[in-house]
Amino acid sequence: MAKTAEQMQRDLLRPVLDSRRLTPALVGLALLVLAGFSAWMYQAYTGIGVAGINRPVFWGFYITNFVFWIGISHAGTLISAILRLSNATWRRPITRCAEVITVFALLIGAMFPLIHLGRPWLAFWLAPYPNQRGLWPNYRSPLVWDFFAINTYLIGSLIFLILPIIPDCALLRDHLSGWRSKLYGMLCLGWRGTQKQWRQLETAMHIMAILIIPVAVSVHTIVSWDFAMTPVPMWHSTIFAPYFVVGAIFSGIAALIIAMVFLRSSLHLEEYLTPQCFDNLGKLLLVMSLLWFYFIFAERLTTWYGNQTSEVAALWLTVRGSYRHLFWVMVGCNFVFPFPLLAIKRLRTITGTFLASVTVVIGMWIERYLIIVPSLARKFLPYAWGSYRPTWVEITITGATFCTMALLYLLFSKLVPVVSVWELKEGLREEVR
Amino acid sequence: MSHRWGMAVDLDRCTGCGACVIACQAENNVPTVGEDAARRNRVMHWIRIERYYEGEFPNPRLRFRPVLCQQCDNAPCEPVCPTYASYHTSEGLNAQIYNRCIGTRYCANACPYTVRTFNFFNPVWDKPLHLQLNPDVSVRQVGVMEKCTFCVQRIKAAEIQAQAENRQLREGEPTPACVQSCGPKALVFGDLNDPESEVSRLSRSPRGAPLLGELGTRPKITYLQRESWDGQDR
Amino acid sequence: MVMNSENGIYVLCSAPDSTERAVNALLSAGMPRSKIVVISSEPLEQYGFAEFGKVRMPWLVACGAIVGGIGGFLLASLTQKSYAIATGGMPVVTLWTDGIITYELAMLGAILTTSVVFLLTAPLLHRNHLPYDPQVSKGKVLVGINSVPDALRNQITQRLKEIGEIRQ
Repeated sequence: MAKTAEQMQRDLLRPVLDSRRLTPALVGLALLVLAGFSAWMYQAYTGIGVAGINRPVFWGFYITNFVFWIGISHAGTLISAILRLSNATWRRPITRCAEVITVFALLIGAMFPLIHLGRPWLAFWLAPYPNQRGLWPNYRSPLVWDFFAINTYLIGSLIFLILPIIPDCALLRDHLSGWRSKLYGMLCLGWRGTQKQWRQLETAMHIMAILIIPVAVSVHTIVSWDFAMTPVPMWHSTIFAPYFVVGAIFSGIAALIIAMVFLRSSLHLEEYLTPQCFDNLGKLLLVMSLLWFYFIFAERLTTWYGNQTSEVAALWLTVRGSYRHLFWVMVGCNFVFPFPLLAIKRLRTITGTFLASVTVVIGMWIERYLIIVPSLARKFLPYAWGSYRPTWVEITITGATFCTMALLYLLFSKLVPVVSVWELKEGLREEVR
Repeated sequence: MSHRWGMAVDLDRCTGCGACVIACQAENNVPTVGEDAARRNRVMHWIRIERYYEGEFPNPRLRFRPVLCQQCDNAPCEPVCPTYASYHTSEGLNAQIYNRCIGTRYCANACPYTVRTFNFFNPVWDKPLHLQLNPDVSVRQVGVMEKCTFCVQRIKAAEIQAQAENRQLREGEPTPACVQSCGPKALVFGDLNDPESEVSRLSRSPRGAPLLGELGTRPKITYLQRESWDGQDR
Repeated sequence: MVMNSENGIYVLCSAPDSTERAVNALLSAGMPRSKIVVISSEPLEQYGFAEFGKVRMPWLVACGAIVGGIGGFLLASLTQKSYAIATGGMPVVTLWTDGIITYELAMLGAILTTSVVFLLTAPLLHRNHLPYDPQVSKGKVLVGINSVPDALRNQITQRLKEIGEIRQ
C-alpha cells in the first residue's frame, strides 16, 4: 500500500464531503419504501387478512422476513467483534460496513413482529411497564425473550457502531464548514483526540466486542426458540439453536460481501476493499456453507431415521411434495453453487464471491420459509393440513424492506465514511513499524 | 369442592350430522367468514367434524370425529402467549381473554389439534343474522384469537344460579351448546372431579383414549371407540 | 476551532519522532507526565506517550452486568409472583425462563455501563475546554501543557520552537 495517511483520508472522506444530495437512486428507493409502507398501512387498516396466512399456516412471509433480517444482522458481530478480538489486520476496512449492516438489519427485522401482529396498535403490551391492571408480559413466552434480546442487541450494536465513528466525526467537523461542521461537532461529543480518550475508546471497544458476541448468539438462539418451544413437527428440535446461529452468520457474511461490492464500485474504494478482503471473507463463507450443510443434513437425517408419522409428513412435504422445487433450489443456492466458487482459489475473486453471496442470500431466505411453512402445513391431524400462498401485500412489504436496507445504507454512506479512517491510519502505522 | 370440567366423545355414536357445529356457532357468536375465506382455509368453527374415508369403493367407510379445544392440562398454547391472553383457570379450563390478545398467533401454531381460530377481519353479520347474536357472549375484533371455551358463559351462569339457590350443581348442568344439541348423545359433559358423573365414568372406559395422547398435552376430552381406525379391536 | 486555556503552550509536530522529542523536551523541563497533553487523529499508544495507570473500566462493566442481572431476575420473578397466572404445566415462577431475562438484562447493563463509563472517563461532553487545532485532522500531532508556570515559560517555548510550530 503505497498510500500515505493523508491520501487515504482524502479518499475515504470524499464520499461524504463531495456527495450530491439527491440522486435518482435515492429517490427510486424512497418511492419503493413508501409503497411498502402504504401496503402495511392498508393492512393495518383493513385487517391482517389481506395477507395470505390462514389456518393452519398462521405464520408466513412476515415471520420469514423477521428471522431472515435478524439473521443478516449477525454479519457485523462476527466480522467486527471476532476479528477485532483475534487482531486480524484485514478487518480494518470492513468493520464499519459490517456494523452498519447489523444495525439496519436489526431495525428492519424488529419491525416485522409489529407488521405481523393482528392488533399491532397494542404491541407495547410486550414491554414490562406498571399499569393499573397490574399485568406484566409473560416471561415464559419466547416472544417476550425476543423483545428483550433484540432490544439488547440493538442497543449494543448501535453503541458498537457509534463508538468508532466519534473520531471520524471529529475529522469531518474539521473538513466541513458552516452548519454541517457544527452538526458533526455536536455528533462527535467534544472529541479532541487526547491519548486518554483514545485509550478509553479502545478499551470500551474491546469490552463491547467481548460483550456483543454472546448477545448475538443469544439473539438468534432465542429467535430459533420461537419455533423450537412448540410441539409442531420438525420444529420441536434441540438442534434449532445452533442451526439458526450458523445460518445467521452464514447469511450475514453473504450480505456483507454484497454490500462491500456495491460500496467498492459506487464509492471508488477499490484500493481499500481489496481482493484480499474478499478472498478472506470468501473463505469464511465457505466454512459457513459447510457448517450449514452439516446442520441441515443432521436435522433431516434424524427426522427421516426416526420415522415418526407427523415429522415424516412434514419432511416429505418439503423434500418430495409441493415444496420440493424450493427445497432443491435452496440446497443448490446455499451449498452446491457456492462451493466451487469459494473453494477453488482461482474462482474466489470479487465476482466469484459476489455471485456466491447473492445465491446464499436467496437460499437462506428460502430456508427460513421452508422451516416455517411446511411444518405448519403438516401438523398432527391430517384433516387440519393446509397450504400457504402469499398475497401482494406480503410481497410488496418484503420487497420494500430490501429497498429500505439499500436506502439506509446509501444515506449512511453519504453522512459518515463507511471505511473507518482512524483505524486504517492506525493499521498503516502498525505496518510501518 | 372445585370443579374440573371435561368431556367424553363417543365416536361409535357420532353420525357426523354437524348439529354441534351449528349450535356452537349460534351460542358463541362465531362469525361466518364467507365462501371465499372458507376456500382459503379461514373457517372459524370452534368445533369441527373431521371426516375420514376408510377402504375403497364400493365399500368405503366414513369415520367422523368432532374436534374441539381439548382444554389440555399441559396446554402448549398457554406458556407461549406473550400477553397472558391464554391461561389456565382454576377449574381446569383453558381460557382465552379476547381483550388481551394482540394477535401474534403463536398459540394457534403451538396447538397440536389446530382448534384455535383467528379473526382475520372484523366479523360481519349480514342482516337479519345480527339479531341472532347471543348477548351473553362477546363479539371479537379483528386480530383476536378465539376457540372453544366449553361454553364458559353457561358454566358461570349455572354456578351463579346454584350458589344463589344454595345448592351444588346437578348432573347435566351446565351443558355446552354442542352437548345440548347432539342427537345421538355422542357428546357428554360434566365434572371430572365427581367420580360418579357420567363423564368420569366414560373417561375410565376401556374404549376411551385421549386424542394425540402421546404428545403429553393431557387433554380433558376422552374419545371412545370400539375399534381403532385401522380395524384393530381396542 | 482552537480552544486554549490561558497559559497553555503547544507545538504542532508532524511525525512521531518529533512528537517524542517534544514530549521529552517537556519532561526534561520538569513538567510532570500527567500534565502533558498529546492530541492526535489516531491512537499513538505504542509510542509510550500514554501511561494512565490501572484500567478500571472492566470492573465497572462487571458491576453493571451484576446490577442488570439482578434487576432482570427481580423484574421477572417478582412480577410473575405479583399477579400469579397459571399456564399449562409450568410453575408460576419459572426459573429457566427468568434466567434468560436475567442474562439479557445483565448484558444490557454491561453494555450501558461501558458507554456511560466511556463518556465520563474519556472524557467526552466535558466542560473545561481541551486545546485543539484543525491541523490535527491533517495528520499533525499537538503536544503541550495546559498551564505553564511563568518561570519556565520562555525555556519551554525555546525548546518547542526547534521542533515545530508553536500554538499558544
